[in-house]
Amino acid sequence: MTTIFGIRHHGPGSTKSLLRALQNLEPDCLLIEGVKDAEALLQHIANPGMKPPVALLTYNPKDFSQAIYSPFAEFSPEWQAIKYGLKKGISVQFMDLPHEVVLGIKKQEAENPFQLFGEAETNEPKSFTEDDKLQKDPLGYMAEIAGYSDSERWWEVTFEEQENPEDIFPSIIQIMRLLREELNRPDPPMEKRREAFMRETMRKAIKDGYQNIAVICGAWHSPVLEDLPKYKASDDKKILRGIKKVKTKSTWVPWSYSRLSTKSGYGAGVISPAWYKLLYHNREEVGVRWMTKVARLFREKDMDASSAHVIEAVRLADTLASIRQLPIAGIGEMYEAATSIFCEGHESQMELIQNKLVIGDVMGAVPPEIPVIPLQQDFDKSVKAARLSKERNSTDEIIKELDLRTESNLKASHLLHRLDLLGIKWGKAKKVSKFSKGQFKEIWKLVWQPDYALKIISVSMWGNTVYEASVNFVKKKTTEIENLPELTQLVETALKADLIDAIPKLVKRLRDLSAMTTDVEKLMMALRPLIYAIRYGSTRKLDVSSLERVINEIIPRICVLLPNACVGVNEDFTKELFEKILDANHSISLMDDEKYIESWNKSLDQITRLKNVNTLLKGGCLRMLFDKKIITVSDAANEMYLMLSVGNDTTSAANWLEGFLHGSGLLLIHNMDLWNILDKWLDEMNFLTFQNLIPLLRRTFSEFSAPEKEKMLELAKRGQIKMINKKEDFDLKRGEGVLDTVRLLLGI
Amino acid sequence: MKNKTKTLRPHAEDAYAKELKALAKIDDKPRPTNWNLSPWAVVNYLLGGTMEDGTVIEPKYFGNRRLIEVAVATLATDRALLLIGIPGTAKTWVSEHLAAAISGDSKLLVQGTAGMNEDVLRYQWNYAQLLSKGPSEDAMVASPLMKAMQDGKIARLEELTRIPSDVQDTLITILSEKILPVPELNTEVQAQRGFNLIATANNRDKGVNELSSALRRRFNTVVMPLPSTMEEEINIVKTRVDKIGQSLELPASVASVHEIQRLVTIFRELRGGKTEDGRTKLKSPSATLSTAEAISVINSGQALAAHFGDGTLKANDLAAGVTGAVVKDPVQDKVIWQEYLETVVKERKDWKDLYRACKEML
Repeated sequence: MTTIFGIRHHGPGSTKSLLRALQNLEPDCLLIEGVKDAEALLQHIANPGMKPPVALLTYNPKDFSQAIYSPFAEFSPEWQAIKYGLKKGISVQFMDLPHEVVLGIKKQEAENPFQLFGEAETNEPKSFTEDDKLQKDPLGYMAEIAGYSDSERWWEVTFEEQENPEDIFPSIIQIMRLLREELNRPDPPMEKRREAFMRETMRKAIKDGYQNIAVICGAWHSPVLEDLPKYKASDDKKILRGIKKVKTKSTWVPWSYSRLSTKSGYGAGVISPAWYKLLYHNREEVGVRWMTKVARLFREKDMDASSAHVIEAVRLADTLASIRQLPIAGIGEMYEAATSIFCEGHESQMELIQNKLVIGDVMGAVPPEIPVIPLQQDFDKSVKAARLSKERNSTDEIIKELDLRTESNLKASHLLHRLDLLGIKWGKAKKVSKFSKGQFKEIWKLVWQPDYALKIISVSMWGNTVYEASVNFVKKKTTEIENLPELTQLVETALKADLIDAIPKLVKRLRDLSAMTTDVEKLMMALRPLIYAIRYGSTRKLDVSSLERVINEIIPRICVLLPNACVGVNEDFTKELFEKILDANHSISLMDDEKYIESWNKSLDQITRLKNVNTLLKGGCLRMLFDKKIITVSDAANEMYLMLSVGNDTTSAANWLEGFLHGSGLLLIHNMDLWNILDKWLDEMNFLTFQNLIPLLRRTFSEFSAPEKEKMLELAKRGQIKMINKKEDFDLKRGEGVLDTVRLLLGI
Repeated sequence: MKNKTKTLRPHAEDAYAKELKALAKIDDKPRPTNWNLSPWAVVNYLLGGTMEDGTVIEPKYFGNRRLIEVAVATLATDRALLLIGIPGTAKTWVSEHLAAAISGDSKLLVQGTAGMNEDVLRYQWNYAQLLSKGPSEDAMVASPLMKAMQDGKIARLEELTRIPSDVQDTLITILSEKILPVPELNTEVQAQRGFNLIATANNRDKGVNELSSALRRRFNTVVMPLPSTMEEEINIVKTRVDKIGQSLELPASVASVHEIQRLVTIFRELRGGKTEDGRTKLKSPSATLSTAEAISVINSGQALAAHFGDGTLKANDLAAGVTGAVVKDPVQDKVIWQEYLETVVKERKDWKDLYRACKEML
């Protein structure tokens, strides 16, 4: 005897009904819709360390993009059925088309697009557009007839929210049979194959002598499986014949509610796993428990939520349900009632607790006994060593601050950087601040996604430990990169990830590339990461001597190339170039090495003298030299006077000013010589010229801070300021008299 | 509606008596005690539609179905309903129609003011009686609220947040214990089933009396939003303009959709602080510029066109109204309006007439 149970994947209602039905039926064999290749892993479900949600991952070890997940939650009918079967010690088998075959078909189709496999699909139209939606969601059709906007809701109300006696299953088959007849759509070829395979598995089970077989499948498939005698075994065999398999591997991976809530891999996605969990465990008092959870979550957020609120909200939800003529309040009613009662109608407040409430922060676990690949083992070990286990087992976003001076935090930093390199973006590094990068602190934002489990498997081609894999990965990337800044970025990350074995190759490539690069901008962009690496290397316990050699070569190159690169640059580009020069200036100053600084200054000086250089750059370079006290105040004043004199056209004068005053108006305020020159320049300008210049001047002055501008305004009001001749007016003797008191006050 | 009354504005239960009757006839759902209609029918009365027997119900409220469902569900529980929103979001309108549909009586209304005392909410005395016969039930003048409690009807309270806090607190006993004590006679009025309160409040005015959290807890709050899309807003303005035009006996002049569209665009843009295409940032004036105001601008424009113009609504007829609606603060708003005219209205191709007409007004 064979009994078919059409269920809805992850529907807690069908789980309850199914379990009751199984207890009455006492079958000796369970056939469950699940990929056949993963069957060997079924036994692990009985392991007490297995905590759903978990997923069966089946993948092609040669191409990791070809993988499917079959997730299970504790409320999934399949999960509970398997547990039941294992407990009773009866045969439990998967019956869906093996992933090996699915991949085989895809491969064959890709190789021979015009050759069709299996006779059944010869009349198949190649593309479906109109009924595409129908194919994806056949139940939506039923729901629409019943007047529901989405199929989930309809199923919930009809089957799941009411306590249905177990004899709903024959009626589900009936409904589906009618639906399939009504739609009369051509079955997609893959579906045909799957159903043929399911029937073949059933035949085999019967042949094996099982007396009482229970078949658990998605409701959609239930009629064609019940009609087993109507289908000829030879036809089914024909459909499945001649397909070359692609070898697959399977494993269990931990899953999470947030993953379960989206459509992924197998079967239906779930809108609200947390709601389903509640329905499964506490069907009778689901509303009260849900609202209590709302209240508790709001209290965590320091918002008022009393028990009276809960009572009111439950009642409002029930009333809403009756207005909508629903038997019991669903998640929609719950949500709206909570919005009105707890948030005074403001939905934005609900968003605060949305994730925890609707999706739930449950993360599954897989016991360590389950065989995993070496890289996964190494990863688990590294996580433990880096003391990141808590973060690994949470679905929340966690901000982690690492102090690189402690051993475990340094390990965590290395691990996160390595994973980042390998494309497992578990942690996102936050910038501490522009200029304190590379010091002791690192801030990471950590969000673990269950599908990283696959990523880990997919990068296992690079090595058996996280370190080995990332070194190999970086080595390969090193040879591919043709662009200097990109390469220096890689060097920087590799240093942070402590991939010592990858460094020699990287440095060699760096030297080669920098020798070939004539683009001074790229050289300048590469400079900063390198200099930072050297400067802060000691905190990270890095050996950076090889990098110093590279810098030794790069800086002189920049100094030689830069002046000429500044000639004849167009306006838009100038700004960018200026930023980069500023950046390089900062980096080189950090090096604190006399010989570099000297040649750099020389090259800056050259720029100020060259013709055909945009005056923005000239002004900027002069300022850098002025800041370093290479040129004197009077030299600067002279230069300024020259640049701002009537002979120059106004645009270039304004540009020069912008470059010279970039970032700081203080210079103007405290240097009366400069101020007076500027003052005079403005004063002598005729009105028309002034009008043309105003936008450019505004651009410069807008960058100054408000107090600076105020000060300037005050200065401007006072008119021309005469310099006080300090030396002549100052009486040293009288001045010294004060010093004793000052010393006393300061306690020196 | 044949039997034209002379009243300027008939009550909702009179204006829509036919619909209410038709709904009551087909309504077979359970009704709470003292309700004229089932909650289901009330929702349909507000949102409109065609019933099974072919009765057409005009929509009274355009917008989110969920809001009305929550409002009606609230009234069916024993919590009071608070409609909150900026002026002109149909709060009073919805409350009137809810009361009309549920109790068949929208007249039990207390207008909240800054100067009111407790007695307006509870009861007052007929002083001649009081002096001649002493305190007795005959000498009491019941407030609308008290009447609603006695008859099991819906009472309405406008502008709840304008009422001073100490007076607001009178409501707490009424709403939680459902009684109104009369200490003078040593009795109390107990509310009958079906009694509930719909209060409205606007969250735009400054200096309002915030509700105490004790009182707030007695209310379920529904926030009334501004229309979310342009089409929705135009639809509202058009429907209401036609309706009001009829009741004001304005000579038939159909406000063109084009003009309504322009007006709604102006209102939405100024309100939202940017143009509809999202490209230009605008300053927002102090005026609320709600949908209700758009309706009244169109109406006054229509009156102008009908009595002084050629009967069709033109830019000149609108200009005065728009200017009046936007420029509430003579200094600040005027600048904003001018800026808008120069940067946005002037640039639009077929808006030249409107630009000129508005310029003349300034």
